[in-house]
Amino acid sequence: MSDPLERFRAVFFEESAEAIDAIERNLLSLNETEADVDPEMIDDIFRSAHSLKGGSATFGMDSLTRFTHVMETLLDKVRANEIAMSQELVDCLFSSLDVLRNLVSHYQYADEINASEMQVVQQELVRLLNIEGDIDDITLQADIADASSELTETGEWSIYFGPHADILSSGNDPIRYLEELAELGELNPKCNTQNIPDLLELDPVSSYFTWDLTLTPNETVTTETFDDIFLWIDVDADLKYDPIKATQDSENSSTEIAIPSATENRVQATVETTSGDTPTEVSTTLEPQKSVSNVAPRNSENGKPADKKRTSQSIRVDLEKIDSLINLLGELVITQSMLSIYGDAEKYPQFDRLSEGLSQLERHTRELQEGVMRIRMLPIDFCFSRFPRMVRDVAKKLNKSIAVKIIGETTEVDKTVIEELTDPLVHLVRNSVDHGIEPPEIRQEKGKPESGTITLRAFHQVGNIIIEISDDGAGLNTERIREKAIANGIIPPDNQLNDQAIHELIFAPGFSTAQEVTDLSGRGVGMDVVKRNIRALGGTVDVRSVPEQGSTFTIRLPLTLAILDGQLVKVNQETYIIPMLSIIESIQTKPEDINKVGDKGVSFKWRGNFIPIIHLAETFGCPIGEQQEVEQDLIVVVESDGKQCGIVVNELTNHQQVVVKSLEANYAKVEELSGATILGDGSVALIIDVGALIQRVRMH
Amino acid sequence: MKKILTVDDSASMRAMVVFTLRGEGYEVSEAVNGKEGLDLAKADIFDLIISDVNMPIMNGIEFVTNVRKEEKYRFTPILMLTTESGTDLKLQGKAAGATGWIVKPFDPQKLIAVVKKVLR
Repeated sequence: MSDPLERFRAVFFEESAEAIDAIERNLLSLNETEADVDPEMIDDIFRSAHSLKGGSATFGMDSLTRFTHVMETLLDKVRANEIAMSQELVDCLFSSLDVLRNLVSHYQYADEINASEMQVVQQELVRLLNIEGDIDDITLQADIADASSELTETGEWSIYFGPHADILSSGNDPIRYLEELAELGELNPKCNTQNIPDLLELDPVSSYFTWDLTLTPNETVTTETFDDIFLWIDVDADLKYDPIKATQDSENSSTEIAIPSATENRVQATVETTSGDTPTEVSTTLEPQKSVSNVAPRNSENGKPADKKRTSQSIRVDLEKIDSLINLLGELVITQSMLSIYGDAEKYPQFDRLSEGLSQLERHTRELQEGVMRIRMLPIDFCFSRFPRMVRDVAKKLNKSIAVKIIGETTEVDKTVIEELTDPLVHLVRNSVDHGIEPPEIRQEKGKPESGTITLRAFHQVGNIIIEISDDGAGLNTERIREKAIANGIIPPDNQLNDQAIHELIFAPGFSTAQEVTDLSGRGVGMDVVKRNIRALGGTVDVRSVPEQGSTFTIRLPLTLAILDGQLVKVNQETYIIPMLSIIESIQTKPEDINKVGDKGVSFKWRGNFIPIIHLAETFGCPIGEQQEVEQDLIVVVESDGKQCGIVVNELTNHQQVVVKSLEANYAKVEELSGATILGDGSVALIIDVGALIQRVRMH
Repeated sequence: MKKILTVDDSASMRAMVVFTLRGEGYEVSEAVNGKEGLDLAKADIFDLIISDVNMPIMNGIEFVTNVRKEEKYRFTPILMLTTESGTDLKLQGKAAGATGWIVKPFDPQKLIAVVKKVLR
């Protein structure tokens, strides 16, 4: 294939991924309503496979073309109701998707082709097709054309070309064909005009001419050559082409051509000449290929134009460009808030027009910021969409029947969050499939529907996104968790923990209740990792469980990692920011609640327990101010990984959203800080990494 | 400059047709399905229309049928860009009013040759 096409490969790969996803989506919905197959869906699946075939052939991706061809042939039979949709067939199509993905990535990233898997699936497809013989029999049209181009003739040809009267209305022009014939060699045309009617009857848009031509070709021509030339109009014209004298009488082909040409019905004759010489084996094996084209493309008025629109109206932008835009906006927000102090109409009455302008600027800046942030947002469907298939596969292995319900898949989340969220979600969903939903027999005994349901739900809630994974399974086994936790030394045997507290223990490091290690979950990666990953995103995860009704895991995440909801605190002269998500409460302590070592407070009594105190001023080496009495200070109680500590500050100031800037990129990584921001007055404030700070306290 | 309309639901196929033909100096417009193609065709005048067969919303056959009904497209060449070349499809395409077809895999040289031929 020529080079200029290379640039379109990327588009094709993108398209392929969409097509494969579309097939998967359709297959999944087919699966649920097996008895009642929507022809629209089969059509959709067929069309996707068909596009894959067409594109891959163009780019010379032969393996992909061959495979999609078999798929397409099978789907076409389903479409024509020649083959019924069965569970077996759906399973086979699912496996085909894996092969397709593998093949696409082979061509895209030079990944290895999983030949054995492809072979197996392909054979299965062929078996379902109910075709005798080898897969190679289902060859593409081109191969057949090659096989039959053996007959060659030299010498003169006599040609009859009789276009039908209405040929012009199909956009064809007889002259075009004469010119093309003339290119083959010396052409002697004789135009027959006897059909031209009287002027009164003459229809100006009809063609009345026919031609008898003699061709002396420059090079060898065959019947194929003429078939090619007249390909478009073999039903719009009476055609006949015969060699005037056969070079070799002994050749079968030439006699066969000569015989039918003598008959009256010219069109009939030509058809026979062209197909009559084709060996019979070829035409039998041609069967599936033929049927592909037999089917009328159907009206798909009820298709999903919305989907199409979404793909055709999106553009791909380098994430770096967006991030630099977000950064610039951060700067704009800062400049705007610096200017806003001049908008105080009471202070500067002479500038009331300015103050108007500034408040407008503020509004527009905010809208612009929201708009730009939204560019980074993707619907959570990008992450959710993998689950129906995954659950289906896993459930099948475990002989369970589980449906996946997705709610709020259009909820938008920051791209980075989606990427980081996928692994924890996979883990949670697998857990639900594996441990949550009971086997069908047990569910039946309990009087529950045989098929379990896992619900994935996403929604926004005051600047956060909430993701819930719930199942209608057995719920957490409180007793077993308690025993396990005691056995593992996570809690003392005489503990007084309530059920909820026990449930939360599943997130403790090194905890696994799976009685045997299955190949799905319980392979050492515990819930503690899930919790850690979500923490790293600035989020929280918790669990609610009701015996015999199921469990719900709730993940709470900030909408974006680029903006943080923070509490500004003053420590001596410096401003620090504590993420709102980690703050439990801020309290003014009484002197008697504080435990001192020397004259320094080290811990204080909070809700009946002693928790350590961190003196930010000391930790970060802030310049000492005048008043330094802990008793007068405020303590902000923060929590990370279930551990609390109190941060001593002088003053709580604003609660605001701040644009997070990486400290690592601009300066260097500092252990207890997660980043920095620039405040309205242009000063820099550091953002505290609560998790790291608590760890530090525990270590010292 | 001759104007060509290409109708295909596949973005890569469209991109290639457009790229190939623009390289030859034609003015090319694109549409993603028959319905969009029909709207464009009605709004403008094209010298040649190249359409895919399998498309959502309105397929190629329907599209050609409808375009042919337009007075200004009575004699305009309409080519079908298709993976199949079976007789049945030919007859359907013919019945709808297609001039001819180009069989995929897409080959730029072949496309140029055919387009030049019909746009003499």
